[in-house]
Formats: sequence, C-alpha cells, structure tokens
Amino acid sequence: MIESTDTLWNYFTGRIATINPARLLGGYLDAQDWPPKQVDFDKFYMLVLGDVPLDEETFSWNVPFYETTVQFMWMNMGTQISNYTNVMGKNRGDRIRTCYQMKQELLQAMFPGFTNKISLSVDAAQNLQTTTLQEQIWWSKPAFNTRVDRESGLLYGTATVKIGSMAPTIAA
Amino acid sequence: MGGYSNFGIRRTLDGIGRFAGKAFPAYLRIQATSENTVDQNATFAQFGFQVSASGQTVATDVLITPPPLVTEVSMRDIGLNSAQLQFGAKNFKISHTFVAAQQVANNYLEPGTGLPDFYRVFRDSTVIGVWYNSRIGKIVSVTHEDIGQLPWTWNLIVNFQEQPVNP
Repeated sequence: MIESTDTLWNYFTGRIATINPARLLGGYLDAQDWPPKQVDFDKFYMLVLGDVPLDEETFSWNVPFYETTVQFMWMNMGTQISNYTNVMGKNRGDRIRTCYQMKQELLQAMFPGFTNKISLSVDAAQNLQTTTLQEQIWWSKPAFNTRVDRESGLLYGTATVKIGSMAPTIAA
Repeated sequence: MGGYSNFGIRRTLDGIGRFAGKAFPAYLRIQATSENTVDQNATFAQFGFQVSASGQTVATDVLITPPPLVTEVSMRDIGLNSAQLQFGAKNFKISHTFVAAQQVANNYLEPGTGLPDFYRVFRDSTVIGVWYNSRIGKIVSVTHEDIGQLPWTWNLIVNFQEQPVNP
C-alpha cells in the first residue's frame, strides 16, 4: 500500500528539482530520526494521515481501492536580521512571502494530478531501486492551510492532498 | 571582588559528580555522519528505508565527564489500547567543564561571529540523545545557569522509555 505515497513523494521531489533545485526536502515526517531532532525551516515534509476504502460500487476485495490522505507541511520563520551586512527590512518579515513561494512551488509540482505508479526498494549500495508498475495513481488539487503560532511567530503551512490508488492484488 | 567564582563553583560541582554523585555513567550519543549527508546524498532516508551499515561505525558514545548529577522526575503510562508503556523524564545537571571541552573538540562556533556555540553540544544535527541506564533518551529541554558571564552548569530534561529499545 505504501506505493501510492512513495510514488507521490518521488514525483513531487522530481518536479521540485526542476522548479526550485535549492528547495530542501525532508521526506516522510514519520521517517525522521527517533528521538526526533528539530524540524528544519523552509523544508517540505510529508505527513501520512490515513487510508479510506472507496464505496461498495468501486471497492473490490481482489484489488482494494483506497483513498490516502497526505499533508505536505513546512514551517517558515523568516529571515532574521542577525548580521550587520545581512538584509534590510523588518526582522523575519519575509515569512509570508516564503510561505506563498512554497505554496506556488507545490502547486506547480503537483501538475497534472496523476502519474505512473512505482515500487521502491533500496540496495546495499544505498541506491533507490524503482520498479514501474502497470497502473497509475491520481491525486486531488492541494488544499492549503496556514496557521500562526502566537508565541514563536512561526508560520505553519500545510497542503492536503488525497491520493486514489489501487492496492496490490490479493490473490487468496 | 566577592561573590561566587565560576571556576570555583564549577570545580565543586565536578568534585561532587566524580566522588559523591549518585548516577550511572551517562553518554552523549553522536552520529558519525552529519544529517545533511543523509538528507542530500541518500534519498532513501526520506522514504524511511534503512540499509545495513555492514561494519561501519554510525554512532559514537562520548562519556559525560565529570559525571552528571541525575534526578529521576517521574514515569507515566503512555500505553494505548489498555497496554502499559512507561515513559518518563530525568534531569541531568552537567558541568560546563564537559560542555566546554566538547565545544572545543567539535569546533562548534556561531557562524556569524565565530564565538563558541555551546548549545550545539546538545543540539547539533549529529546529536542523537543521551545514553543512560542502557536506554536512549530524547533531550527535551536545554537550559543553563551562569555565574561571572559564563555557564557553570547545564540542566537537561531527557525523556526515556522504561523498556529498552534496540539496546
């Protein structure tokens, strides 16, 4: 079942590499260190929220069809005026612009809403091995949300995306 | 003159830790490779894959010396679905003698000014946590007390699970 989220993150990172190669990418939020380290700013992470089966008409026990909800998330602090020759402006005042730039990049990277499904594994030399599966995944238009932490002034951005995908065939 | 001497009170703390401290040995566990190397050069980590280290050293334990003063705070049950899973905090009072030595050994400097950055001893991206009583703990809070414009002790709140995981 993890192929659908693997495929989306793999497609997203490939698109971002051309849209903004400098953008930091963190991967699954649940693939970070444990004990966890601090989450980096201005960096895309992906949170997997759950999988819901489609209704009776479209669901098949042979080829289960699931809708997976994922949330791309990031935090923006803004640029601190920390050095004498650094930047001019209001301290951390550019965080809203960085947040919207990340939204724009994500929207561009989500185009066109479907791609070929892949299966991933890793070999002993630490290289990702990709197997192309003979089917596709589809995803929804991203819905954005921004929250402000009142104490720290941080902006939390999220983009919720739903993926439609067929799970591997259950033979028996 | 008058008041406290930073070095004097720190040496007193060092002495208490070495000769009268009531604690097991504690270690700072540090990754051998930096997180940036994993992030940028090894995309497999983004997907949650792990590969066999095949004999490579991936982490080192640095003995915290002089030994810290450790206070057990509490344990509480965080188990879900009627299960019991004890989780709790311990306070570590660590002498600045250790922190200063680690800062020098790892050359932790503030990028803007080149001044010593003592926080990175506990908050650098390579730091995994505190290894104590055969368990790895998550460093929750890092604060310090200062005398004479220098820290003399660092107070850590570290969260541990009662059951050891991958000892």
